[in-house]
Amino acid sequence: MTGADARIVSAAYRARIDDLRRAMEAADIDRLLIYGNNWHADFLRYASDFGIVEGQGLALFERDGSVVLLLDDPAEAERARAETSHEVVWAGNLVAAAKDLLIRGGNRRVAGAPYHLLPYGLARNAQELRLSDGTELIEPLLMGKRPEELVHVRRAAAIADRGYEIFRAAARPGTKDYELVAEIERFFRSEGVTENFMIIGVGGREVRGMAPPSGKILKDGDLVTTELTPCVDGYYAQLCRTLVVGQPSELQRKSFGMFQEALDAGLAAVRAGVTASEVAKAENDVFRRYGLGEYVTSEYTRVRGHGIGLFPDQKPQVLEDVAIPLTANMTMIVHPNTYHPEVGYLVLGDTIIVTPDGYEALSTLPRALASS
Amino acid sequence: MRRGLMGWSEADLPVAVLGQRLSRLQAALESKGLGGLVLYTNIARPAAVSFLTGFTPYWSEGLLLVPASGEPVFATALSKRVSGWIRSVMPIGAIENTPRPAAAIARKLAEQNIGKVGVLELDQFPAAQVALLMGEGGAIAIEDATALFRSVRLRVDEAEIALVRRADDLARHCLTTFNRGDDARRMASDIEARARLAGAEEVLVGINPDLSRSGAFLRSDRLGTVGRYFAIRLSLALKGSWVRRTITLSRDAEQQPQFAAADAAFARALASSSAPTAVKALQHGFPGRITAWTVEASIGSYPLEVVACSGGTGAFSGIVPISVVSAEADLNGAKWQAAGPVMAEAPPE
Repeated sequence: MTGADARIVSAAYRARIDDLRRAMEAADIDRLLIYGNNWHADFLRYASDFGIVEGQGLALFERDGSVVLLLDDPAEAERARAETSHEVVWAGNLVAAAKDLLIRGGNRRVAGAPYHLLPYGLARNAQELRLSDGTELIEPLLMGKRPEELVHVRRAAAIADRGYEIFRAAARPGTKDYELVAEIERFFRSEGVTENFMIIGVGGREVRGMAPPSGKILKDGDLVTTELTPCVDGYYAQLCRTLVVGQPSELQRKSFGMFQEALDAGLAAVRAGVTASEVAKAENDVFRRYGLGEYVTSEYTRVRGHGIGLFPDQKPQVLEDVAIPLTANMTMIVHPNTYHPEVGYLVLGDTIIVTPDGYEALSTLPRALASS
Repeated sequence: MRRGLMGWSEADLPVAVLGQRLSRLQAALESKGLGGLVLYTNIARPAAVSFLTGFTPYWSEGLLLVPASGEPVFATALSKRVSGWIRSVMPIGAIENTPRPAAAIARKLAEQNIGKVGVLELDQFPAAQVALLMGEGGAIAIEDATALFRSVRLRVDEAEIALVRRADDLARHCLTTFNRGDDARRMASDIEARARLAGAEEVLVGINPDLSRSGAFLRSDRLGTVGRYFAIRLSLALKGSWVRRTITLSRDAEQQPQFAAADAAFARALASSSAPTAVKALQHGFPGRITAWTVEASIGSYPLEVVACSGGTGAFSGIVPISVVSAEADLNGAKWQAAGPVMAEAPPE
């Protein structure tokens, strides 16, 4: 494929545009000003289908579905011209360009999203620009998925499974943690996966969580934990697995058994209508039954799962105090990841699609403690 | 996200060097009557905080307060569980893990009776962070201090030059040793893997698969077979130091000598002591017509941003000590692209 035929308007993007236009009409909003960067690329991707890598970008989305894309990196602007049909502007001064665009558009109601990340230079002129907070207009659209979007999440999940097999094969004594990541990235890029959220843990009881690679060398008996989160056409799917370098010890097997039980309990609670809180409680109750309730607190773990889609860690966060109800076609991961005081940090989790009666699991890998 | 090797070492970035950078900034703050400087970081805009502390977040965001005197404070939305990791890659400053970094910085300012601070790139700061930073009723006065930061940032030291040179050596190595073929996606993945296997912190590979059709560097999802001549752009970070290299390759043997001559002229231009000299060298005595050029540098929170370009004005009009010059040329009807760094010598301390 070359630049001239790189413009693919996906069915998922067409579905998103329809939903966005309907939401704007219902909220009586004329234009949306959407911000994005490589960290929070989701809102911008939703509205423009452009996956930003360098710099910052703003998309001005009109109610008729047309988009002007302002990007402050010239190479990104060139790529956006090749990949999208939008009007694309390289704006060295993003704030000035956006202001000019809004003022030229006249007296119309503009909603910005995600508002908390909008450049201050725009937010401080909110009154003059008739700019209000439109975050809540888009967040529900990011959480729920149209069938056209699920195609991409399914594909990302399948690639995550294949990626994990490569990870497992490469996890040999003497390998450095960043070399494992390099092999995964080689595979992902060769499959057209543009992004991957991935952290890793290597070692035993001293490991309290996962982080980027630090140069640790794998040795026999190490637990190797990872979250693989490949991004396909903008959509992420996540896989959490733990392996042991060599053969797992009895203690490692037994400890991991509790995580399998917790994941099963969490998944059994999933169906449209239940809250994220109920799923978290089902997972955490397993730990409490084993006398390890302390290890489901924020001291040891962040969340017990989360939504996933155009952002690798979106709402709803699966926590006992999150009352957001799950809806059919929501994509999420359930993962009872935490520290186990006898063996160290363990992870296990699968991306699922919420259904009216339960869930559809997207990974075909066994939910087992692997060995390399 | 950052998922390559991330680590700090005294040999690469001595604490004394960070101390010198901070001291220069603190002296500048003092001279302007500012109680401190607040800087923002995330994976898209990590450079300023990395310059002062060595730290780059792998995800999420954070704010660094450099008071006019005393220890810097880094407040981040990364959870407390990763504070050990942050400490391992950020050798100086206090760390505060909080879901509201700006509120934590505002508290610190109040504790230290600081009523007025500078902010790097105020207009670009995330709106919610500014609101929290100013505190209730606008208790903290803020002003843009981008120029002040630049005055400090543009003084290069040996540590920075050494890291950029290493990053550039790695980039050149990857671009000369990768497995060539006609599958652009495979080439991109091989280049990226080589860089990561050698310890790169971040790697961005773009391929312009057919220079006769487009000027865009595409990512792996849009890549297929390359055309008769194509260009590869490798952007690479090593311990927070970024470099870009672009090369043009031809599958047409007849065209290769022409491209080789252009490459040689470009390499000579990069050996200049400054970007303007390099650009001038390209505009005179280049075996083809230069159709566009840009100069990028790290002068604020961006790893690389355009500071000068053909047919326009960049973000900065002064001389930058380390830059990346990119050029596009017409070689008798064939498009050619290249990029690489231009580095000055470090002045004596």
